[in-house]
Amino acid sequence: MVQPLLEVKDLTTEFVSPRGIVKAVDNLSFTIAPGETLGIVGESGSGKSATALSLLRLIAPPGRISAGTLLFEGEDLLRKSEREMRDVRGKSIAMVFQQVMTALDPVHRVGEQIMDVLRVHLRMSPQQARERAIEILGAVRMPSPEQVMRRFPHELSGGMRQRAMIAIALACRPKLLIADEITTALDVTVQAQILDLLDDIRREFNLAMLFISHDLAVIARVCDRIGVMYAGRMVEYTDKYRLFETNMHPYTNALLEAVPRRKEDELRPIAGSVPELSSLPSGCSFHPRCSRMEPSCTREAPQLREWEPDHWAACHFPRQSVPVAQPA
Amino acid sequence: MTLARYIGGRLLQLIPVLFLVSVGVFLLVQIIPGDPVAIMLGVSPDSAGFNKDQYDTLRHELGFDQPLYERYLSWAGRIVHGDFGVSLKSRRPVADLLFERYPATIYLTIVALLVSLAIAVPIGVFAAVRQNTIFDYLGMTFSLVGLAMPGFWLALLLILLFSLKLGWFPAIGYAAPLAQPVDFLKHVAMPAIVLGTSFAAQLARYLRAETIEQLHQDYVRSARAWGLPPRTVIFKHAVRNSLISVVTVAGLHTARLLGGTPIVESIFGWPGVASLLLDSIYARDYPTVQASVLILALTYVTLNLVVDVVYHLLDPRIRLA
Ligand SMILES: Nc1ncnc2c1ncn2[C@@H]1O[C@H](COP(=O)(O)OP(=O)(O)OP(=O)(O)O)[C@@H](O)[C@H]1O
Ligand SMILES: [Mg+2]
Repeated sequence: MVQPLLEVKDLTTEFVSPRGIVKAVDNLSFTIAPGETLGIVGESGSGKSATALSLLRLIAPPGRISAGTLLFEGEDLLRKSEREMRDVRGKSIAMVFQQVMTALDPVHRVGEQIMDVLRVHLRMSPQQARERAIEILGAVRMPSPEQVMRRFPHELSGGMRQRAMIAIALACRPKLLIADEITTALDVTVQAQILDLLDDIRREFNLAMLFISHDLAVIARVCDRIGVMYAGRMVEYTDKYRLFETNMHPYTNALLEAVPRRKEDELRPIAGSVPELSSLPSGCSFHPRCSRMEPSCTREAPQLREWEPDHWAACHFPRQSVPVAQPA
Repeated sequence: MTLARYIGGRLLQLIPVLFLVSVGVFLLVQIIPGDPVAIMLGVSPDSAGFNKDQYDTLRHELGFDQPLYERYLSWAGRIVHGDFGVSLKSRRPVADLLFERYPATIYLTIVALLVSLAIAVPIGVFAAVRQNTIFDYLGMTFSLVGLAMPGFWLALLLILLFSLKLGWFPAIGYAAPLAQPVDFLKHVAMPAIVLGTSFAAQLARYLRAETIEQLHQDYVRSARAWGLPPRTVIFKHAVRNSLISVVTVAGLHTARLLGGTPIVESIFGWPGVASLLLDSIYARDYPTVQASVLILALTYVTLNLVVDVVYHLLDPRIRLA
């Protein structure tokens, strides 16, 4: 087996809220191999962004990482000083956010924001940084890169801004790219262009990715492996084919059922709603919405277990070989 | 639209403002109690040495026998040509007095502004970055005290401590900045601190609030995720963005700065326009009062214009309109 690029073990991230401490990320473990893309899927509030921010140690108070190890190339990021961590951020691990409209600083030109990153991490001269920035804008297929360098963020379209964010992320040739819902705010055509771009740059840069989305169709298109999160926990974790063909967890199943099969179909949301993290149901936190609920589910929380080789699920009653494309 | 055209447009807008100010100043003097003609003569109409003929002649010379609007028009016409009349007190052309006094007020205001910034920026930014720590509380307590403390009281404290007790700074007086820079700094220090303190207190509070707000913005999170060092994240991104609204607020409060000048100039014997204004009010020297108020108003309006331009320069999202 290849040495993993990133190995997350028992990551727990808490937020202090008026209603007590909530675990936005609860005992999460996963690995990403070099060049591999792991997708994380889950409804809103399941802890996807909290996971992503935890990896870069960007959780701001009142939140904090309370337990776990984050091994990146064998080194625990949680043991690094803040100074050392800054060398990781943007250089070895880069991140692109969902907030297309607000993630770039409105008062500085796009070119300057790219160049700053290059100058800080690679100690480039302004001239070198400029050349490299133009080059990288070309690599993300930005139309007329030299002009875009001089633009302010508000002068670019959403798709172009997201390209600029990707360019900044790739500027220092990171090994891991964290993409948190990066296409959610874009319209469908632009979304497809960005996903195509990701495909290309993954190959070109031999980039590993943590690709976060609540959209299974997008996840299926981009990812090699998939983790399903519910209320801060990983409930199913396996490769893409197993997840789509022989998923085990009823929540995964419900997510798949909710995806419209034909364009005309409405999105069918899962019955019930995501529980408040401050008042999680007893036992398995999914039990109130689960079709397979048994009395034991309300008492004991299931642990993530490897039921089949490389197929993990946290369920007392995992099912296998669920037919996916069955109209209700 | 270019910046030059924008400034041109704003200058045009100043014309009606200045018109209203001049009408106000003109009328103001008409309602000041006391008869200026009698004051010039040095005798009151019901006293023994009062000479009716002499009074009427002077009244006619000064134009007080004409209708109000005609007096306004001829007064305004002269002012447009730089003729502010003759001081009733010193009998010198008011324009000469302004020419002597105005630079001192401007120097003091600029130094006070610099003092305010030097106090407000570190306190505001540091309090924001270390929000809810002892530094934050100390900084905000200081700014509350600075806001609440009357200028004259602070002035007396400073004079007691730094001139009378320690002898570091002269209590009163003035030196020209170019001719005697060291002396100038010694003289300007205390008045500038007094004038700048309450302004600084206000600025520090706004800067803190606005910087805290900006520190929560998405682009700050991006800058952190890019691995930029804290000083870049804080100054180049958060503080730089907070300046956009801080400058606007500062503009609104330049009145506070200018409003403090009469008291501060008189206490410290600073020979500026504001103390000239106070003196001429006591002396019922109405041409000087009018001219001083006019030039202070003009200064205020200009400061606001500068603030507006800076605001537009700071925010690339705003189209000049
Ligand atoms: N700044 C914060 N303060 C308090 N609680 C927070 C904060 N950020 C996140 N949380 C908690 O963490 C939970 C998970 O949030 P997170 O943003 O990770 O969800 P998500 O899966 O990314 O959802 P979405 O699809 O809406 O982006 C939230 O439900 C909330 O309870
Ligand atoms: Mg999220």
